[in-house]
Amino acid sequence: MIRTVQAWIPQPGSGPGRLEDVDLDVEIVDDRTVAAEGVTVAEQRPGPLFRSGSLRFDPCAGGGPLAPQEEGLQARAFGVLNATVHLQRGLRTFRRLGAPLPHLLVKVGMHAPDHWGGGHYRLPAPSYTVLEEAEPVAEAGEIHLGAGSEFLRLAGQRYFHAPAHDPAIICHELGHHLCRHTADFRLNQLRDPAAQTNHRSPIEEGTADFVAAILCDSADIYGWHRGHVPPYEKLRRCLDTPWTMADYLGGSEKDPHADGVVWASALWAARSTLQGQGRRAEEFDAAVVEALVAIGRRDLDLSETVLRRRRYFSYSLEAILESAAERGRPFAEAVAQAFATRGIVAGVSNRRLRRRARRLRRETAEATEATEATEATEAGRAVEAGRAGRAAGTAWAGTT
Amino acid sequence: MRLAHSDGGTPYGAKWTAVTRLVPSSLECSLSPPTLPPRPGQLVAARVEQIVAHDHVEDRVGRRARIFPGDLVVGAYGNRYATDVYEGYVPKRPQTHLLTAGGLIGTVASVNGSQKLPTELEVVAALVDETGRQLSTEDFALPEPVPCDPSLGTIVVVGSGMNAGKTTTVAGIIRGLARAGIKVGGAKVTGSGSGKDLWSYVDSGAASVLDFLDYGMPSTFGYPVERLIETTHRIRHELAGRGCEAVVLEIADGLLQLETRALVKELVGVVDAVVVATVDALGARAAADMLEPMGLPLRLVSGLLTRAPLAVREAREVLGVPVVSPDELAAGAALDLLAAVPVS
Repeated sequence: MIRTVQAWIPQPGSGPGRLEDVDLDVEIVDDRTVAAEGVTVAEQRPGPLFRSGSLRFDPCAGGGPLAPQEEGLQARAFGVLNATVHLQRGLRTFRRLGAPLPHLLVKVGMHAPDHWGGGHYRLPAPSYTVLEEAEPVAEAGEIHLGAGSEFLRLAGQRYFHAPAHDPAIICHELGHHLCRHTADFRLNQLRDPAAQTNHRSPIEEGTADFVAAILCDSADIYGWHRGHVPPYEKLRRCLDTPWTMADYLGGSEKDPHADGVVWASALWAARSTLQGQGRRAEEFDAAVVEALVAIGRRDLDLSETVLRRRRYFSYSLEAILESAAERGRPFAEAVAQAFATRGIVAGVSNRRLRRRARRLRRETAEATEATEATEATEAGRAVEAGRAGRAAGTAWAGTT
Repeated sequence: MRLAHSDGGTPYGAKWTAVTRLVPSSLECSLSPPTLPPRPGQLVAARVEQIVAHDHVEDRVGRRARIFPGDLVVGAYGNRYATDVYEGYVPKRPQTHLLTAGGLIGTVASVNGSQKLPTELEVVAALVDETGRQLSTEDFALPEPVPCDPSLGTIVVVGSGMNAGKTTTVAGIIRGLARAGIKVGGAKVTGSGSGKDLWSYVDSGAASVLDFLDYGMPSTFGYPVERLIETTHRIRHELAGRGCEAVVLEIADGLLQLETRALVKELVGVVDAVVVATVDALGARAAADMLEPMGLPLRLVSGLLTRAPLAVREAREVLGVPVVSPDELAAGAALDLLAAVPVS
């Protein structure tokens, strides 16, 4: 049933976006749950949200602990529907690009007693490193969005940062659902459905950030809730930054989100390059999604060698270039060049890419230093020569 | 004899302690034989006679400054009520004691059995201004603020006694609120002069901090309750006036301390949430029983108790409010204290 709801439509530089009326094909399952094509979204905290009548809820400044009860409930209802709008839009985009995904269950207001303000994509596992799950997780995966933990500013006013109100967080988590059911970087399809792994690698986190950037149409995906972090810090996860493999840290103990930015910003740079050449961004997006699908169908062997290879940026880059070539898209060379600028080339492990990129950076710095030293010496000589010339001139002048 | 703040640390200079922090560096002051009988707040210079308990003082910015016999320290007369340390009073004669590292000077009347005897001082002079008038902490008090309330509320932290974890709890609440994007003010409304609690609030993210010294008292023990009530209101108004959306007030000592109890009673209708810091479940239950008839909204229990899982379990069984550690408050639970609906 088509209903009119309100949602934040991303708009770069303006918080969660602009508030718009959106037509949504949605069914009310119960007083806290809605279902739309491809997705079910359920609020976990008590209190009826959907009784009857209009589904056009106000965001009520995100609700949160300072809001009166009625406004808090309105904000939660808005969050459920805002998430539904973005997830359905994203799922439709992926289907159009060649990746239909299984039905997605989304739980909003999770881990409220822990004051969790983030989002995560969960697959069933024997245990969880953080935030234990009280209920079994769906085999196809679930997105969990926290209750929120901080206030931000929006148009000069306080706004409680409920993750379900933030399109970037919603779309990033949808990116994980896409990865799980296409590239499947951790080969969960070969594991016991009840014992999948939730450990994420930089390639997956970067891909999820790229997905968020595509769907939000902004490189600065977290510019709202991480606006206080300078764009040149990895924590900001701004894709419009010149990260290269020299900035890649690697290692299982490092934050995969931070290293994922290197991959995500390379993808964004390639996309932007093609746009600059007059191509439609969606052509590149399709190549990426097709590559993810192709990766998910190859090397189906749950060995450490294969898993390691799937973590390599070059492995995914090769798949993107192949996808471009197979579909007769004449932009493989430009894409390869864009990635090479970031130190990512085909056929090389992440560690070797990093070594190369750092060597190149060091050599460039040394060459620059040498050039500057030479220029300084030459400038010094010129100054000396000038002084000598002036002295000679003075002497000459003095003799006339 | 003229004193300059920069003299501190030199063999013949004076070490200016935390209770002198409001004396402007630009003020021309000198030493003179006292002409008035000792009273709380009077600023004096004292010679260190014998180092016992305290071998350092806290200077005007909070640095621990080592002291040696023969050093001159500038501090303030005051009383101290500290069950774990000393009971002390404004002295009647020059031979007296260092009651706190913050520079509170008075004569010890009783010592907790676990403590060393106090460091001995001899008061040598009063601090006077250029007209010869004896100076007091009262001379540097802030003006009366315009009454206004913090928009998101006032939280008060009280304890079952000294060293129950009150300051750590306040720091946890400040951290939690500041991390959530709230401009928060922190204040210690009663206690004995020291800078370290205020620094703890600042380190936790407080946008603005105050204590009783800002309203003229180097310590609060012995002052009329009316003065303490007035000071508490002034502190709250001043912090709100500085733009703090939420204010967290720490009240020293335990609820059984006479002035604390009298002050807490007067906060009905002013505070939005009361937090009790305690060392055990019995203290938590007793505090809840004392607060309830006063009509004060006890919202949660924290403090040292939360280090012991068994004590937490005991407290949860006998209380109807959450038991939350300072770390959990810092991680976000502090927000629940400001919630429009009661914590459930």
